[in-house]
Amino acid sequence: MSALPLLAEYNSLVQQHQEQFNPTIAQLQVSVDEMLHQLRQQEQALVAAQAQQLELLQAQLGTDARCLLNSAELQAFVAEVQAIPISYPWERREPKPELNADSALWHLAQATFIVAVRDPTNTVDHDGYDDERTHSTYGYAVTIQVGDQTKRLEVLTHRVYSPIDQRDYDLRDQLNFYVEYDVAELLELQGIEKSVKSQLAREISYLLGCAVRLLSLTPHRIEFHYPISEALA
Amino acid sequence: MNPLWVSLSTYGGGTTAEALAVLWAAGVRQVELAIGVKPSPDTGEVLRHYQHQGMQYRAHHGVVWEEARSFNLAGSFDVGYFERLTDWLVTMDITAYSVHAGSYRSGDSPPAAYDRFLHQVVQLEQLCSDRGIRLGVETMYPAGFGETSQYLLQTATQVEQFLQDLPNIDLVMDMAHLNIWRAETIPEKLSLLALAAERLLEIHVSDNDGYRDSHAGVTDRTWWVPYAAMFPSNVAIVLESRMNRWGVERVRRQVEATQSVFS
Repeated sequence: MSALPLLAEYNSLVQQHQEQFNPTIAQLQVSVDEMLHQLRQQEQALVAAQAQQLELLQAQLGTDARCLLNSAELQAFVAEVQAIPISYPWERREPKPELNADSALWHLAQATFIVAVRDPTNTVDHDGYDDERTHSTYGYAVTIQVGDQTKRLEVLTHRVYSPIDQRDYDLRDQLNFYVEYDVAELLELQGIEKSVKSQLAREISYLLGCAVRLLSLTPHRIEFHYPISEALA
Repeated sequence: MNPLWVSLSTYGGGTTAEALAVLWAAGVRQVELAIGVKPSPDTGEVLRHYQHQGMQYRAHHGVVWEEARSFNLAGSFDVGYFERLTDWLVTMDITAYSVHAGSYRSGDSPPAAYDRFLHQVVQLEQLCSDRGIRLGVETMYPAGFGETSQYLLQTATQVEQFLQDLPNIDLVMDMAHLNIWRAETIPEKLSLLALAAERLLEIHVSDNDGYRDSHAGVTDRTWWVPYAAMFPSNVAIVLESRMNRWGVERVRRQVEATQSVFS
């Protein structure tokens, strides 16, 4: 059985193309791999130093995250959250007072108990459901310690009902609905008086949000992606 | 004394077989079938197995049975589905079925949605009463948190109006949903218990933070606990606090702790 003449001619051209360019492309890949290997060796010390610095930061936040008070990072985080519109209709009618942008003036700055934040991990649950529908949830879990009380919090960032029905929870919602209430409970167990409890709970929620962001930092490493060495048909 | 039933939604994430194995071992003998468990080919068989052992059932809204689906009684109404469901309830000796008040999307007309809801509840009630099943409609709550739809029956006024509009249909009060109500005082919320007393099919209980229906465990600090003695006696209490993946003993303790509120 003989090949279709037109296809045989095409196959011959493909072979000619491969013979002409494949060796050069293979050589290019070898040289890129070699260069990346060299760069990765050169960056090792700097990556390790970054990792060490982040470990120190994690240890500090895990011991007492109040070190963030009066920092530019917390101030920027608070401004970012406060720029998000309030989504709950009744909160728009009776808004809780916004926090002072200057965290040095917070009640928390006068507190005698520690607030530690540690061990954030990403969470996924494909077996979620509410009263009416099933869904998948995405978020993170993090441990918070207020004084001598510790709790593992679960914060949802994203809920997927179906490919066309999804909810993203912004930072304000995340802190409002998944952090503040639990923090208030910890404060209650800590014997904090009612008059300052809700204000403190909100301050600690923002502190936790900022700390989680910093705890999620990773060392910067070389990333270089290039197309695999195949001629596109 | 109020009998305590446990919703199958308290132990979701696994199959009906997995959930009932734990609830049975924890001493639970009265279960309200609901959303939460994964649909499985053996669901009907498993339910019948435990029934033969002595388990009793009632059913709630998007119950996972030999089918499973979500629906909105202010949206479209699939008569065929509800005929199949109510026929199946009869085969399972289930005589109490409760549904959520319907919901409407922002931009829809609330009065039109309410009229559709009333019309469809009446249709469903006919299917139920023909088969000897009591139907109840559950009190809902104001949606928020990025939701694009609102429930009907989310205020005391709307619940009172519903009781007047459909005098043959019963009410299910969800005390956790009432915790999310904004305009009503505690006495106003509790007054519904007396208003609907003769028509209360069941009372759903769990806890939350007042913002989202998180189905947290009942504790001494749960808002309605100090008023549990005001619940009409003999009305079924349905526990809806989530216990997914808990061990048998922990489930037993949670169920017993909730039961003790009513004894």
